[in-house]
Amino acid sequence: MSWLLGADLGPGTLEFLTPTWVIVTYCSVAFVTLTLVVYSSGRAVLEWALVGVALGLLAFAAAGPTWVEQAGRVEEGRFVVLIDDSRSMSVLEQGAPRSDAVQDALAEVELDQAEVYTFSEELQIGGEATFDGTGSDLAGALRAVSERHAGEKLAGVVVITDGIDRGGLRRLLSGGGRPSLELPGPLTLYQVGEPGEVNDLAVTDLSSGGFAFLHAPFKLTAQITGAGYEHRLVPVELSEDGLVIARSQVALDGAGRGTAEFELTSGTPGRYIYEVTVPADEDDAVPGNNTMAVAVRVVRDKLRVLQVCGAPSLDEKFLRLFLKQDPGVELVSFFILRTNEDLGTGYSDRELSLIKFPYRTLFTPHSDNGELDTFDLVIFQNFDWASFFPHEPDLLRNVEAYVRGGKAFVMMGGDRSFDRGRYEETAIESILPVELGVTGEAVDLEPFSPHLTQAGEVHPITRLLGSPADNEALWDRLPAMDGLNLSGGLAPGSATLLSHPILLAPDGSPAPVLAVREVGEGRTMALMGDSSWRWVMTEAAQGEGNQAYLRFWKNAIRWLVKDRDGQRVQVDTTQENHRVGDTIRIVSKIRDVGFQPLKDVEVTGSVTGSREAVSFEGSTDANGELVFELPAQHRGAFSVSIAAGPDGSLGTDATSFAVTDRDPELEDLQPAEGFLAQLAEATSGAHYRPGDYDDPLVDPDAGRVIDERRETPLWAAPAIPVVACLCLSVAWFLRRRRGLR
Amino acid sequence: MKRRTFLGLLAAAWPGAAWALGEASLIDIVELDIPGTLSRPGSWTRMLYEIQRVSSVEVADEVPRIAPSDTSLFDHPFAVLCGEDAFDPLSDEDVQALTRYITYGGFLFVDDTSGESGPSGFDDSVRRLLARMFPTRPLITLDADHSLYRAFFFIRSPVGRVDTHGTLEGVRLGQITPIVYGRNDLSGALEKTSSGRHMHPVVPGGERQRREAVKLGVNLMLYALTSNYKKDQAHVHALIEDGRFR
Repeated sequence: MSWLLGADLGPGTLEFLTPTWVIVTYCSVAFVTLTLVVYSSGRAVLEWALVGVALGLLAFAAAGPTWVEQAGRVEEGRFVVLIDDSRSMSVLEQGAPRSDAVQDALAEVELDQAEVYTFSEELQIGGEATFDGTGSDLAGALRAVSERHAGEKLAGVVVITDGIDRGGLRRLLSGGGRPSLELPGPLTLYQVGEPGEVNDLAVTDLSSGGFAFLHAPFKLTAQITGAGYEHRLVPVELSEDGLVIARSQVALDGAGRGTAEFELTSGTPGRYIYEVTVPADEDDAVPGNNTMAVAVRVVRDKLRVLQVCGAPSLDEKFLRLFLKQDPGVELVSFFILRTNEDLGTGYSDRELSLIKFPYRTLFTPHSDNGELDTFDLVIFQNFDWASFFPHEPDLLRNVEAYVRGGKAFVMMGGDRSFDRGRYEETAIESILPVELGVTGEAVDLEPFSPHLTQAGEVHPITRLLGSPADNEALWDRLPAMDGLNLSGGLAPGSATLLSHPILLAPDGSPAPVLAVREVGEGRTMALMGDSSWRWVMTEAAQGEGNQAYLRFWKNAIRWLVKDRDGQRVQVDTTQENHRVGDTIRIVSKIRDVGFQPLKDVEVTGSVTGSREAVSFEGSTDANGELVFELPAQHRGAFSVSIAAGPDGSLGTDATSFAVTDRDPELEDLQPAEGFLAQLAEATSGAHYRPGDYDDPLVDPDAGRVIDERRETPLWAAPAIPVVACLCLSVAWFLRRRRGLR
Repeated sequence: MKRRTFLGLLAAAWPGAAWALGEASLIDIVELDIPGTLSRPGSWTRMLYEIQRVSSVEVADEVPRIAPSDTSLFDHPFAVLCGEDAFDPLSDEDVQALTRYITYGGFLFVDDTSGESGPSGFDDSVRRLLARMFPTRPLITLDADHSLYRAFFFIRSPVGRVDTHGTLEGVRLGQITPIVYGRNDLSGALEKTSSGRHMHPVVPGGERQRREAVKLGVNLMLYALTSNYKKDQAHVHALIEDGRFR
């Protein structure tokens, strides 16, 4: 019987698997066939009955009859083990990583009946624990286990952790809340780590805002935590670009937390690396978190320019118009509209809209209640100091110190400038690019066209066009100047950019018309005439516009204040501060003297940190840029330097950035024993402290039903073709006996 | 005239002999040579004299008359145009040259000498000219707090030979007003005969009004040279503290 049906059949159900339309089609064909048989067989009922049986069996087989038997079996309950894989598990306790205790806990569990997972911010299936996760979310991991084992009753859920939970469960329980966890088995918590065994001092955060304004105070705020340092004073150091610039002490509270604040002011724009450091003792659990770096970009809010003019003039008018129209400049002008010679003209002071010249305020540093060092650039334009404060030469010494300290100064010509302004043997003479002490008129009133010197051909101030030939042609074309302040020649360490075509200095060199000098940290410029305004109006008359004038003064100001935007070779990162894991994008920009992008320039560079250096090289694209990307792998301060062109012939530049990794996981390293106890209580589970490990809780009813389904295809059973063939054979035999074919 | 010779003469006749680096850098006033307009060099020389007398500005004593299309106009960034009757429209080239002159830093004072309180032929011509020069920047009335009114003197009313218009008008470009238009015949109040007498009586205020006209002339030049300098915060604060801010 089993052979005829194709298998031993148990209790089950019959299912037909063939589509209905196939069954209907086949039944129709069988019915037509049977009708033909009946018609041809006459009254031989037995014959067409046999054929009918055979066709019926074939129709039955075509319907795909299948015998389906369903049953289930019960398997024994399993354990699920969750191992905390976060970074806090790797801290050192008495010289050994906390995670060493994981094996002790695992020894309590029958691992051959257990599924072992790790978790940090989410559940991980498979893989070894590395204890470098960035946070622990215990509730998330338990919920993931519940979903994964839905419908199954586990023998138990085992968690091995220090209890430093960042997912909210700890906060919920400490606030008196009840967790909404539906666990698939009783919970057993094996605590690793002993409270009080950890000593760790750390800088956990350093905030700066990323940038600060020049001359404006800004704050660096460092968060200090100290496990094992509760209620203690901790020394904190602040360094700028590697040099310690401030020290303080922070009193940590009962939770081992404290804040260190440093107020700083920067007088030079640029990017600075600040590092806050706390001492690393021998037993410090995580020595790597005792220093944190941050990069601060110091920017100008606006360039503050002081223009002091001895008398309104056309040169003053056009310079003021230029400076006023530049949105990046905050201009403070003082024009001497009336001198002592103009008094007694019959007008009362009440009729005059004039104010006193506040020279003391202007030329006194901020530390002495003045304004001088709030300016980035001071311009003396045809200004005769001795008419206003002849007995206060200290004010000029203030200007000298201001320049030597890193600021900029310009003296422009006129009948009250240079020697005619009585600056000989003053502090101003010591910073000027030209020597004073000319006797006689000290001016030459003949118009002249200045010559571009060799230094002027390459200096950024006088490079008005990219091509040297075009630049020289432009200077040759510019209108003549109306006269010249004579000088004693070039001062030491200075350079002449424009010179007089005929007049000579005492040393026989061409008389300087435009000269520059670096003085201490600052820069100065002398323009020995008062007719640069003609580079606007006379050019405009010729249909040329005022680009030469604008570019000249823009170049001059950029150079004088050492503006980064004035550099032809620049390197920068898109951000000052990065997180570990970020991609750092380093952009090198190369431009020609006309500040147009330079394509296909070879750039070599390197990124240097405390651990290793990374080199890069390449060519600039059509935008004059080369972009290099690298991952931020560890925290610290990094410097970037590039060189453009063969052997850096086009220039070099450098910048810096910081990588921080404020790691909440390492802020609070003490095992959360109380939390684990609360969790065990809330879930009717068990909590074992180190040294008290015992067997995990077990659900004796745990297990799972395994569903089984067996399908026996009856359409393939031998019984159907055997019976059908038998019926057809008998019917054929009977038909032949009646003499039919 | 040689520079040194000129300075010597100037020192004798003019207050506070001026120096600058080259004659061309001295401040002067140029009259626009447009047919149908007036030429009053004596008025402008008087104005320069007063500027030299009361302020530190260094001036020249010549008043050239230059056509708008003459590129030498650009050597003289302070220009005046005065008249009482209509004048023929300027050629497109002249209009373009004047527009360029103003755009790149020139200053133009237009003085209607007709003394009319209503329209005048000159007024019509001026408005047509300025509309062609700056079609999108109409003439506007200068507010009482405009820098021009306190560029050197405090000016209450912009009077000239007459006092028929209480305000000045101007064309504003950005933060400055490089074209100023007055209709009280300022040049008439300043003009003198060769014997040194005033050419025209001033009505209705007489010599007190003439004095105010002189102050307006000084302010026009100081405003042209310092633009909105008097609106810088340092000045405003100082005047407020001094109780003189208006």
